[in-house]
Amino acid sequence: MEALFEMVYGLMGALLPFEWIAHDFMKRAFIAIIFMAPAAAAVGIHVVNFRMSFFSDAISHSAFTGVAIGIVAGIDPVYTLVLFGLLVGGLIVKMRKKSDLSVDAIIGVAFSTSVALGIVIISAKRGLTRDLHSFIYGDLLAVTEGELALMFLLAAVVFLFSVFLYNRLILIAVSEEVSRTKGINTALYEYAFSMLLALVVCLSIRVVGILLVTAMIIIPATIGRTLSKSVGSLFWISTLTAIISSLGGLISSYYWDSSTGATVVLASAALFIAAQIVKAVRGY
Amino acid sequence: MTKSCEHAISISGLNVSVGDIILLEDVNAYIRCGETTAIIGPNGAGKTTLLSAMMGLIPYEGKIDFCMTGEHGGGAPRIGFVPQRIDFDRGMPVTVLDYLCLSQQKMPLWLGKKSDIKERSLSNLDRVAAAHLAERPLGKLSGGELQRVLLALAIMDEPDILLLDEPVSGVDMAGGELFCDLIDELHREKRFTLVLVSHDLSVVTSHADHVICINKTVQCQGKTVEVLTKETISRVYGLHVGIYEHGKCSHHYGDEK
Repeated sequence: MEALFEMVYGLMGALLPFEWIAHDFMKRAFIAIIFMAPAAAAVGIHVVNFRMSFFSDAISHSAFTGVAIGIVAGIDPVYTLVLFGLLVGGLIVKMRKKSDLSVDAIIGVAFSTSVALGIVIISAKRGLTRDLHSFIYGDLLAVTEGELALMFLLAAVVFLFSVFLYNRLILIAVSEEVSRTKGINTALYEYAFSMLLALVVCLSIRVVGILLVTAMIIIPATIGRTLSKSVGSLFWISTLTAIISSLGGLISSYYWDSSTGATVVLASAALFIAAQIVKAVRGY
Repeated sequence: MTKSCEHAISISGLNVSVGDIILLEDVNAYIRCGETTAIIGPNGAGKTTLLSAMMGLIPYEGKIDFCMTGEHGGGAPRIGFVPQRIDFDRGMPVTVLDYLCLSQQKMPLWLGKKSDIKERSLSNLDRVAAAHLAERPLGKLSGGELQRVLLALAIMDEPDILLLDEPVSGVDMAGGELFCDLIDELHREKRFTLVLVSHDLSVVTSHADHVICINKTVQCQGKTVEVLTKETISRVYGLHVGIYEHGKCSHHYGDEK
């Protein structure tokens, strides 16, 4: 795999002869963001439609525990954080089906329990707080090649998902009842989508950190919603604004010497405000 | 629909319950092929539950048999369904045409709409007098317009059986009249089996050939004129209800309130 990455870096050096991308860590950051930003946005469209941003927040905060378990057990925290995120996501969906409690109450319980568990583990084991920092704020510039490979795989899965299931997910979002009469197994789609979202959230934590993951997922989709009038343009506007804001954020953070993840989110927030202004001026 | 099918749907010994609450108990009923059957009963009688069971959307005990010789060859018949209303996020950027294409097209809509599917969607919109709404966002439709769009969606697959849940409640009088006219026209043209759920007896008397009165279980069923007597109505609905007598014209949608 090392040889492959050497080749990719060489190619990028030739194609993008800019100062900001001269270092290998910037090349890795560039690759990470070029895969994860549109993947997060493509998933984010459905997160906004299904009103699942609180769910996404709960998964990202479960990373406190996921990372803590990994560090205590001596496993790479990226793996434990993904596994724990999937576990929490699965539990929430299951509880939602079985319980009379409202969704936000269930998520609230899962959310706080997993954060509390993480804090208990971390506080009992002194010296872990420092490792946790890179997960709370994100550490795009420290992304490893192994993580890049995971991100590439996930982006490919999200792409296939968007090709084959996009229409059906929108159909379900408009009316679950009507979709079921059209023979769509909506419960299966709900599970599959929730698990995919959990994966995207967990891997996006490396890019923007626990606190800002949900922003990375939903802001491009809210821009898409603001500016588009149809289902087709919703997809394009969301994913393209995600790419533009993440590249803008990455380059700005290099020159400002600021946190990359936060700068990326700020760039998309700026686009969000611009979209609102455009909409107000155009008046639809 | 082939002649050999007398009953499009035969229901026997149907029980539906949620926890301890019994919604339907020992329902035995049949829906005749190609005709219009109305399911009537008071609120909470299990009308919508019966529809959901027919569509296989809820678990039930008992048997629901479909006539397996639909117009589209053997196998299970196609069922179209128009719900009473849908609650959805009206801010979603989904146009009427988008919505119809979503249900038919495999290729994701962000790669464009296939011209044949687009044409078929437009012609179905035309059949329900909604062609002018094609580019309108779904969230900006009135109740009556949305109902016609849902009807267009339901008939996209050329169903053998069309189920309507409370077709005229929540729609103004003109909208209800238009909707019933459209249903009549489609029904004459396609001869599908039509099942409508209604608590509005005037709609039932002017449209249905057959009536099934339910209140947890079947109270009575048969030809509309034979079943809708004063005695059965007061048995099903309670004492103080009678049929509001309309004039002789064919469409009455019961907005007498």
